[in-house]
Amino acid sequence: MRAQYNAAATIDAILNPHNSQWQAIKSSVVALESTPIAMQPTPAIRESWSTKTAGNIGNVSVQAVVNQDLLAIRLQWNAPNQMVDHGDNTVFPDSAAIAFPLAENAPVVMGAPDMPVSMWFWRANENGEARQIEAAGIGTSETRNRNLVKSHGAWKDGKWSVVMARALQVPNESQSPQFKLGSTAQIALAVWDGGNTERGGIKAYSGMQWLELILTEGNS
Amino acid sequence: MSNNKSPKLSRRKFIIGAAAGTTAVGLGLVSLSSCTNKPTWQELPKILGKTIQYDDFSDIYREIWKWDKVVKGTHTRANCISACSWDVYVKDGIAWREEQNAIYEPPRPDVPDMNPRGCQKGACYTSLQLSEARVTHPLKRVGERGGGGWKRISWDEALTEIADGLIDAAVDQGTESIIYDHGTTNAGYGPETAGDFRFASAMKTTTIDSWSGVGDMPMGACQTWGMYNCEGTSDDWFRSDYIVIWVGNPVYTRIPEVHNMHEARYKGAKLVVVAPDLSPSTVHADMWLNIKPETDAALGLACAQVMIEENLIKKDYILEQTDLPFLIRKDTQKFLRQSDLQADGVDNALYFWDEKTTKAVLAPGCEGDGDDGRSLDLGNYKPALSGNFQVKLADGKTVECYTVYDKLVKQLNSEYRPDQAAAITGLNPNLIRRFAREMAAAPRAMIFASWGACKHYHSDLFQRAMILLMSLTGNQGYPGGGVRVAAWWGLDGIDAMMADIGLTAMDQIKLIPKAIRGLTPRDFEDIYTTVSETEANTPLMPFLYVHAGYKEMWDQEHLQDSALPHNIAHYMRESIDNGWVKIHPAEGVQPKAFIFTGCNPLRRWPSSQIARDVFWPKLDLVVSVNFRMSTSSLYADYFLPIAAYYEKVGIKYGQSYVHYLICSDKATEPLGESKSDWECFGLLSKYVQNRAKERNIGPVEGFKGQTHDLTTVYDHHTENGYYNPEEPDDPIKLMDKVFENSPSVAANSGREALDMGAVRIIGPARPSLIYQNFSDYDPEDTHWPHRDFVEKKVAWPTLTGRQQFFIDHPWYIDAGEDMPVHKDPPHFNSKFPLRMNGGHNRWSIHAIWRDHKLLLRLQRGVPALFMNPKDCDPRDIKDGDTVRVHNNNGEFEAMVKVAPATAPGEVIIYHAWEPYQFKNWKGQQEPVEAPWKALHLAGGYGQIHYRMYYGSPGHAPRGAPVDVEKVSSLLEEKA
Amino acid sequence: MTSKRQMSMVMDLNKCIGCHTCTVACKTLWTREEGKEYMLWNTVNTMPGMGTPKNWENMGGGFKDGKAQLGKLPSRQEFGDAWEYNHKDVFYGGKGDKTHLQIEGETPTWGPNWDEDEGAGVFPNSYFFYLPRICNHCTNPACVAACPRKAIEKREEDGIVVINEDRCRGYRFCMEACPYKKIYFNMEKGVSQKCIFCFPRLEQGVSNACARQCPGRVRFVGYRDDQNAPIWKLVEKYKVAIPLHPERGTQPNVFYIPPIGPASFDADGDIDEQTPRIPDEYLISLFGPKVLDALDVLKAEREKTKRGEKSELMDLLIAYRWNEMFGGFDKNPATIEWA
Repeated sequence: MRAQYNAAATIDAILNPHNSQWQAIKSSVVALESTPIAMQPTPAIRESWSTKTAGNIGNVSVQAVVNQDLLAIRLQWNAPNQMVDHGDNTVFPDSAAIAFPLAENAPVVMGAPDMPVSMWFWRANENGEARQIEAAGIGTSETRNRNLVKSHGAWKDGKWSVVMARALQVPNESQSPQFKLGSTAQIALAVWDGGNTERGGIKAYSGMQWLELILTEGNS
Repeated sequence: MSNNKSPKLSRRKFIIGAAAGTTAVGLGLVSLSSCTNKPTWQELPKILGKTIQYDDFSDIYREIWKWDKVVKGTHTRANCISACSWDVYVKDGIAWREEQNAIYEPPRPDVPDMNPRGCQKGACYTSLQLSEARVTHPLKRVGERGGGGWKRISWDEALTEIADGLIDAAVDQGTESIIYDHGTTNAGYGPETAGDFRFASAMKTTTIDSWSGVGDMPMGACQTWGMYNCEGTSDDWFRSDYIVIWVGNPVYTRIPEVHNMHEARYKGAKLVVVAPDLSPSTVHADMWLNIKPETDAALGLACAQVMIEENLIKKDYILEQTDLPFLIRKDTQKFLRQSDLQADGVDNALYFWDEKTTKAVLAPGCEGDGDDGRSLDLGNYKPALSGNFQVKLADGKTVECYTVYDKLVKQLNSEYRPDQAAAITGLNPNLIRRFAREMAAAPRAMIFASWGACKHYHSDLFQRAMILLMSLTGNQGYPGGGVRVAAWWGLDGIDAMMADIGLTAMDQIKLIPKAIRGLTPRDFEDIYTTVSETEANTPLMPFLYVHAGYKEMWDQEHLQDSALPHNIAHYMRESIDNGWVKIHPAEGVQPKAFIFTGCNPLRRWPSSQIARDVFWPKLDLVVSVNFRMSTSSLYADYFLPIAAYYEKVGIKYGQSYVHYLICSDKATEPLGESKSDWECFGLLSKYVQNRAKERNIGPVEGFKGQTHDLTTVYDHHTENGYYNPEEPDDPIKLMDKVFENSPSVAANSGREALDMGAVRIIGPARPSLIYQNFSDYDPEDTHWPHRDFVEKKVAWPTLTGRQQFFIDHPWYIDAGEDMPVHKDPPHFNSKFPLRMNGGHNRWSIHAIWRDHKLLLRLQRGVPALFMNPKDCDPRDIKDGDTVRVHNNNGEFEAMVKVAPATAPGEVIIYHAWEPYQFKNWKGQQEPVEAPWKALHLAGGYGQIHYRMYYGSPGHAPRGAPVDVEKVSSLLEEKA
Repeated sequence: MTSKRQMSMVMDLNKCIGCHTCTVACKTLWTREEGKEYMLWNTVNTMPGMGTPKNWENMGGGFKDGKAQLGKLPSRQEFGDAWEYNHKDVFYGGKGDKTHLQIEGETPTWGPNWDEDEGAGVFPNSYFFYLPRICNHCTNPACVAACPRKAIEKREEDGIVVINEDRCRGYRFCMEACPYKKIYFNMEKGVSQKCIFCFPRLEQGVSNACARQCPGRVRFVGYRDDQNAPIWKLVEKYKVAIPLHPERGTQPNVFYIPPIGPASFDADGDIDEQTPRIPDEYLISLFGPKVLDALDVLKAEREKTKRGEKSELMDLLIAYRWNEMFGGFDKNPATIEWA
């Protein structure tokens, strides 16, 4: 996957998932699969979900824009039943996340001790912000920052379009991945179908291998 | 399904005790309690809260539970029967929450303490006083009455206009045309109430006597005892061995008290409930008698039959404490009287047969015993309980006499054997026998008969039967024993509530000889009657009959007692003409203005649509004085906003359940422009006086045609300026006077009482019929009623001087009620198949808290009624359906709760939903015709007569015949 | 996860009068802010009944064969919503009797005390009693077992189970796992919340609001292992206090003195001494088979006091001195001043 260089992109504009700038960006379709139920952290969840279908969202379309200032990623997926607000106990918001390793060989799923991963996490009921979350093993995730990553999701015609964007470099944040034009970032993707009560480890994800995202330099 | 009660203490009530007491004390004739040296009170030592911090989410919770200060509070004019002291926690300038002030010490080690008195309603008053129903600015009606149009006006505008309206009414029809009603909602012992009373007294208004008007008049007790106060402290229940809840539901209505019953079970007592439905109070009972509604007297009499037949009765007690040995002439079926035996004999001297001398002898203690009927001491007499006796009359004729006991036994054996009572009550005769035997065998048995036992047509007959059982078993007057309804604490300093104390100098001089020989209950009763006639008190039912358009309804054939030869109209006429019932304003005078404080006539009065449609249009001025919007307020012309309970100081009326008097301090300032009752009514008097002067109003017609000067109303109200109700500390000045002059309670001053919150009772107050239970208070014991009668052999304030079961008043004989009997109510054969019952409920105190959101959430959220599946199924009614409850008189709609606990044939809708909570504001009272007994208008006979808050018609909201039909289904509505 | 000591509560169902002072005491203290409006950490229900949340006994959760189960997630409507009313419209709307007080929005079909005082059975052998409930602060909490984020802590010092709201991400597996359905979801904060056993009060030596404010004097509080306090005697010594639905395997630390209903009637309407009004099977369905032993002990001890003999158990349940119900957590909160 490539993040296309667009010198004119600004965070404010690019955050709009329907901004025309996105039309020119090449999209890749990434197939998603259910996170292995065996990896669920508690026996209760494993037992309960062993007979249920998790990871309802089969694929996600990914686009990325990059320039000296920012990295923006747009995810789009089909979600016939938009789940936004909690509204009731039984309602779970649709969500999406983009993960980045903070250490070499960090496991895609929630990292491991000494091999943390960082995530950008968007949830339909927290539209506007995306939490930056760090995890070093299943069940260890912590929200590190709620202002660094911006987001905007829009649901239209049975489809979510969600943009998450961040400055390319962030000041001295050892816990945040730093991006450089011309380099290749490792990413993983996850989407939660709220209508299927997906939350936590119950989700669709892009698999055990990191995906590569080339941050193109200039108008190549 | 019973009833809580709503005591209304009036100024009169206080005065009576006060006046008599003051006189006696003034003469040095009555020694006050020994507790004149009050103990010094120490505030509980403060402890510094520990600083605990986890630096995580949990600190949020630690921060929530912190406050700035704690103030003692209670709900002074909520008219709940249980006085409870609360700690009001104030945080950031608002009364944040409350928690019980649980500091009550038990009087003796072998009874449970009373902590932590207080219910769920008290626990959320902080939110009620900030709720949507709170009114914080004076309002004036815009548009039609009840139209919901209001404008805010200033206090000055409101008071000026109201004062002018009151003056206009007084000029036109006299001051009695101004009707003042504090209804059920009310009356404390201090400044929260004294303002209204002073205003009404200074204005010479008519005051509605609502005691019986709300169905709280224990007429059977008045008839039998000449009084009705018959309760002590609730820890005394714990000492009972056999507790019968009979026409009551203390699990709903005595939340802070009822633990004593449940704890008594653990001590070995048996708890029995007599009720048609599996009422919530049966949940913790051992035995339930599922009696058919309104047949309670038959059960009681059948038990009496069993006890007598099986010789389970306490003969010595009966001979001394009851009229059962008294002689009745067989020819006339009346008491043998001195006037029968001697040419110059009196009517109120009565006889029993002395077995020793084999003569009819004058019964000591009866009214005409020659010694003012003071003592029950039988001396050497051995009264015969039973027998046929020949007595020679003054005219030389010999007549045969027998005893009240014989008359009773004959009646019981012919009509009330268990098999016969079973047919009436629906109870198995063995169950009746078991109940009678157990009650008689218990060392101490009591009957908890709440105020609900006053709300059936023949409630008086229920009560006469209940008292009979407690007399036959020798329980009345003993700890853990007897019939219990209610009593209050006396408080000598309560005189301070009024500007004057009611008795003239001449009245007081007349008391001297009696005071010298010691005042008896009957003396207090006489004084009380005298004072009661010095102001315009009028019982509610006759008032509604004469002035409010109810005559047409109550004269109807189907509401009459078929045993009586005449219609109620006949008895009403006779009673008015005899001066028995008091009607103010007099017939022919128009009521012109109506001021009600807190009470809610259009919610409470039966068939209140009549009041709205007939009475209201007669009124030129309707003023509601309240902290909250009520249905009646919605039909008012002016609304004067009153400070909430935690925004003013006051003294809660002192029901005797708890060994303390409960006071309420001011936690925060009144919200918006609301003012304390004390200030509001002070201002009203002031404005009347000023406007009367400005308008040059001369003397107007006052009480009973005497002239009255409106230009001195405020002077009278404030005792010529001693009080200034606009001063913030004025109410505490009044409280100082109350406590400085009350040796029976521990506080020395108003401030001290407010700091205590709960002020310990430390000794007896001066006696008064109106609140007295005639037992001295012992701080080291539980408190129970009627000790004076059984321990000191003081005569009861009745014609016979005893608990009197035979009443030979001609009306009673006509009605077949000279003895306790069972009678079917007028609606017994109504074509409407269901009977609507109810009772005070768990969730509100009358209409207060009825609209509270949190509490509504813990119910169905809308008015709901209970019906058994057997009545629902044929009507295709499902749980949650909306139904129409109707008869020829009225209708309303409510949601149905289908309940196996409800008796088939019953519709139970609990108390006090606001009509504005029902569709078209048609409230639950609309079908309730509430007939009442002509007998209750009777007078001219010993204890049978009207005096304020005593002996007036109790109406019968219970058992209203209705049918029910489905209107809509909850689930359909949703779809 | 093992706590050094365990706080506990015993509720005497023979004294509970269903007045909900506990519910209100809790509500006014802990759940008044935004997002908590519909919560009632303490509830009381008429039993038999569907209770709150509606039909909770059939919503699953707890442990089966030692494994925690996820049951149904109760909806806000099943708990019963915080209804709002049209007071202003009725009082000041100028419509008079054309508008009456009503719940705004959708007409509710359930509430937290919807089946109050209805009862079960066939009249006159109908029956009911009151069952107050809080979080059971279980020794083997299903909520803790289910949470994927280790966001629920069982406090080491007192065994109180608290949801760490900093860690909770609102996944609500705990709500599914709790067999008692005593966990609520805060829609504003996006976290689960529940009874905290008034730990800020206990830390100051003050008993829980629900217990201390109970006018029925129903609730005993204290450490389970305090042999001088009532809890240990009721649970361990006399074994009259038993947990609710023990078969769910969570080992609750709230215990109940089971109810003894009034005598039932035979077919002729006389007292039937043999058949209890509250059927044994029903009580067993709630408390397990040990309930019958507990009832036997209660009845036997009560027979003693009826004969005038002394009974330590009956004296405990009478609770002559209210403050002794609280296992030493007997400070009067009004005497506390905050620095």
